[in-house]
Amino acid sequence: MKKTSKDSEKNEFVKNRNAIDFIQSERLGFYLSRIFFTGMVISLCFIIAGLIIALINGRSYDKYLMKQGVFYFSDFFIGIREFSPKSYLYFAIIILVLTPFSSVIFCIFYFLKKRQYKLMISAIGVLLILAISMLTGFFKN
Amino acid sequence: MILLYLILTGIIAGFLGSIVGIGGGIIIVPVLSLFFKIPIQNAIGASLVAVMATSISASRLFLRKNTVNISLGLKLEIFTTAGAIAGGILLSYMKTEILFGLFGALTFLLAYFTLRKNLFSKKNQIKNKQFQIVANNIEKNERSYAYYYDGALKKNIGYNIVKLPIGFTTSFFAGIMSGLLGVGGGFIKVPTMNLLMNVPIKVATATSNFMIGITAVASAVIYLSRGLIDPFIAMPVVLGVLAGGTLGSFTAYKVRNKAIVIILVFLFILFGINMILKSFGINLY
Repeated sequence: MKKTSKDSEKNEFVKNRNAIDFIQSERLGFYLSRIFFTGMVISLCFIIAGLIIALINGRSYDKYLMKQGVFYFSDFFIGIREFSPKSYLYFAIIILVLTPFSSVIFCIFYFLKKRQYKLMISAIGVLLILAISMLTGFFKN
Repeated sequence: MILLYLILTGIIAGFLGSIVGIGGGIIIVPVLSLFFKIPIQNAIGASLVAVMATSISASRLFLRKNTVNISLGLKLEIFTTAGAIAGGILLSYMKTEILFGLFGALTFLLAYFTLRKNLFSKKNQIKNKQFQIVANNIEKNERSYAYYYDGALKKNIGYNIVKLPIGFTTSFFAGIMSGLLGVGGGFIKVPTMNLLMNVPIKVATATSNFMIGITAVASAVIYLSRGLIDPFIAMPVVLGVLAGGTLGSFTAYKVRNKAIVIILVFLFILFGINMILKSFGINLY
C-alpha cells in the first residue's frame, strides 16, 4: 500500500514537471512565429526579385530550367552582386532553410534561459541531426 | 509560359491542399514529373521546398495561437529528422522506376486517408467529445499536462499525452517518407498523435505542421547539395503554393468540402495509376 502511494506521488511529480515544461514553452510560440514571419517575408522578396530579374533579362524562362548542376556557395555571392536570378532564387531557398534552423537554435537559448534542461536537450538533439544533414551534404559536394 | 504553368500548379496544389488538410507535395510531384516531364528527383526537390514554405507559413499562425505543442514537437522531431536524412541518402541509391512505384503506392494510401479523414471521420468526432470531457475535468482538478485554447468552444482544452514511443517510431517513418518522396508526412503523424497519443486533432495538425518545416530542412540540404533542387522550377511553385494556400484558408468554409474531396481522391487514383504504370515503363501520354 505504501509503495503504491509512493508511486502515485512520483507520477504526480512527473506530471507536474511535464505541465511546467509545457507552460514554459507557451511564450516561445510567440517568438517563433516572429522568426517564421521574418524568414517568410525575406524569402518571398528574394523569390519575386529573382523571377522579375529572370523575366526582364529577355531570355526565355524555359532556357533557365534544368541547367543548374550542383550548387556551390562560392558562385552564389558573386551572383547576388551581378543580379543573377539563379543566385536570388537560391538565396530565397537558403532563407527558407535557415528559418526553421534558426528557430531550433532560438529554442535552445530560450530553454537554457528558462532552465528547462530536458527540453533544451531535445532541441540540441534536433540541431545535431540537422547539422549532420548539412555535413552529409557538404561532404557529398 | 512555363513560368505561369508552374505558378498555377502551385496555386492548385496549395488551394486543394489547404481545403482538405494535406500538404501540396502529393500533387506537385506527379504533376511536375508526369505533365512537365521533369525528372522525378527534381520534382521531389521542388516539392520539398514548397512543403517547407507551406509549413513555415501555416505554423506561424498556429504558433501565435499557441496551438503547437513545442515540447512534444521537438521530442518527436529528433526521430523525424533522423528519418529524413536516411530517406535523403536512400534516394541516391534508388532507381527512378522504384521511386515512381513508391510514389504511386503513396498516392493510393493518401486517397484512402483523405476519404477517411474528410468523409468518414466518426472516430475523430468521438475522440473530440472525449477531449471536451477531459476539459471539463481539468477545470476541476487541473491534472492535465498540456492545454490549448479552442476558439470554437471558447475554452481551454486539456490533454494528456500517452504512448510517446509509438510517436517516435512513426515519426521516424514519416521522416523517411519526407526525405525519399518529398512529402510532409502529416498524414502519418496527425492520425498517430490524435488516435494513439491522445493529442487533440487541432494540436496534432499544428504540431505536425511545425515539425514538417524542420524535417524538410534536413532533406532539402541533401537535395540542394546534390543539385536536385532547381530554383527556377521550385520557386514559382513555392509562390503558387503560398498564394493557393492563403486563398484556400479563406474559402475553406465557403466551398463544398465533399465535392473537392471526391475530385482530389479521383486525382490521386489517376496519379497513382500513372506512376505505377510508369514504374513498369508504360507511358500513357
